[in-house]
Amino acid sequence: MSRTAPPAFSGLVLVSLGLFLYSRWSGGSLVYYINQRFAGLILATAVGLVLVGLRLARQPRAHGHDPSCNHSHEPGHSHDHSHHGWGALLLLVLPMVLGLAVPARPLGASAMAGREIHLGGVGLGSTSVAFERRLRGPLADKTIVDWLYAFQTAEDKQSLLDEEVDVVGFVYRDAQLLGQDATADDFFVSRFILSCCVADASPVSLMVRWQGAAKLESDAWVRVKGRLTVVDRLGRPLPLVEASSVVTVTAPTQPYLYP
Amino acid sequence: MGATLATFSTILLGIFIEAVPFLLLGALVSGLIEVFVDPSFLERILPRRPLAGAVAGAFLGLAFPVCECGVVPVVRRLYRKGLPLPTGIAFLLAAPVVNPVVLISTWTAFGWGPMLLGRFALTVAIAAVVGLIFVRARPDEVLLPAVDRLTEDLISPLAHAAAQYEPPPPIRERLGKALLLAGDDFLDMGRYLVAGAMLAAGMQTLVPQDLLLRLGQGQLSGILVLMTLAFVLSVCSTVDAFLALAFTGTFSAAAVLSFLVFGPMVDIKSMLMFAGVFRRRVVVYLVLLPLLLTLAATLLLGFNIPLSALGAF
Repeated sequence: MSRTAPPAFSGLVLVSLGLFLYSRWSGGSLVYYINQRFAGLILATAVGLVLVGLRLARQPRAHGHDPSCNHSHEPGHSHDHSHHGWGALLLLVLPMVLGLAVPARPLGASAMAGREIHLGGVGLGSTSVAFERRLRGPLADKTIVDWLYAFQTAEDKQSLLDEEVDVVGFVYRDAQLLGQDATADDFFVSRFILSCCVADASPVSLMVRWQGAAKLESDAWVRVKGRLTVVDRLGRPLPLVEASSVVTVTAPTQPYLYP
Repeated sequence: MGATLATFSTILLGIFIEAVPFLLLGALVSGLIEVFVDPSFLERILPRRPLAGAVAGAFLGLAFPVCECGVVPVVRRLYRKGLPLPTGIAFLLAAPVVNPVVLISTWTAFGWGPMLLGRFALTVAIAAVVGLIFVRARPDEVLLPAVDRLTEDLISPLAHAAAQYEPPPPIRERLGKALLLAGDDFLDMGRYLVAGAMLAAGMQTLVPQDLLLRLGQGQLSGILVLMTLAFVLSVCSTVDAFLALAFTGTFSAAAVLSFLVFGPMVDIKSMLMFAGVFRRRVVVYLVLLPLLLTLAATLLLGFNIPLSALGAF
């Protein structure tokens, strides 16, 4: 077998990659990987890859030299023929294989380990305009990140006492983070916030106290309703939701939050 | 194990899917450059003096607004068109910051002030200095044979003569050729992107970030930690400013600046993509030189050492 793949195969790889991106977009799992605002860009890229791939596939087979292309070129000879090694092409196929073999799922509790988890604020400043706008909106629209931002920016933390909280997130448990005073009723309701793609994901968590917490499985998506209180944990005041109800829900179509 | 694999797969696909549009864009620009830009055009517009050429290279991102994934195929193509080494290296390192999209995102995150100015100025200075270091190098010492050889072809007198007497092919044919070249470039560079994304996803899954963050409490250790994080995370330069904001409470301004300057120049995925253009030894230089220069510059700023103090050396 030749060390270089025929142009038709190179073209096929590009067309497949385009179709793979399209499948993520149409299947709704694209938002598990990147910020939703890039969806249009990904769709355009899928079309572009198919077009480029078809053009590449129509190219007649190169004149049978090896990938290092060590022959001497005649003057004016242009390098417009494709000669890609099988290895390079198979490497490009790898993300597609992984994407199809491993069921698509957003980052969850297992990705929290080893990350800096924001509990008393979100550590973001620039997006305050967007936050402020949301904070003035209806209570029901506030997400975990909105509450954390409100807590971070409130000069008097007690002013947030008894605010009604209604948030959706996944269950996360971390004995060290919950602190020594934690009980079996305590857990975190968490989400990841995203700027660009999951490479920059950073978790935000609200502490919750609920009597039925022990029955909740880690990583399960829940809707938490309750009232905000302030507790001293880890040597600083942190928000805690005294839950009146915690209901298991299906994962939201947008698993991440965008500040 | 299953959960770890799922996390690895999600992060790998996240980095890969996010980068693919920009790599394709870079490859398309590269294809268009090949069919529409005459090598003599570059000779005419770019300064001949090395210093001016390197500085011009650092600002070339304003003309070709590409991020760290897109810049690599463009630089490769420009080298084939006879771009001088220092100009290309300065362009490669600076373009991910010195382009309108990144300047706007940095401004959105930090506003007008020392962080935006520092990021811009340090990037230009470091990119130009690294470019100048290669001023006496021969292209065949620096570039891979496949990149370098065509430079010789194109600038050979016979090729020039042939180009002068042949009427340019119709526009449709040239666009078709640009698409073909874009496909080739995408496939050439894509494997490095996949390898880089795999490495970055592996590091993100296995290396605890909070451990790193706890290590970086001092001035020097803070800079080293954030530079390491920038290298490992391989976040696109168009949004890294928002990520850097999250570090402002925990780290010194100098450390955050080092994250903003070093990350776009060199990270795991771009380092592997450099390997598709430059010889292995040069790739090592292209990682170490920006690393040392960023470290030195941000340390000077961090300790408020006046530049005049350097006169003593």
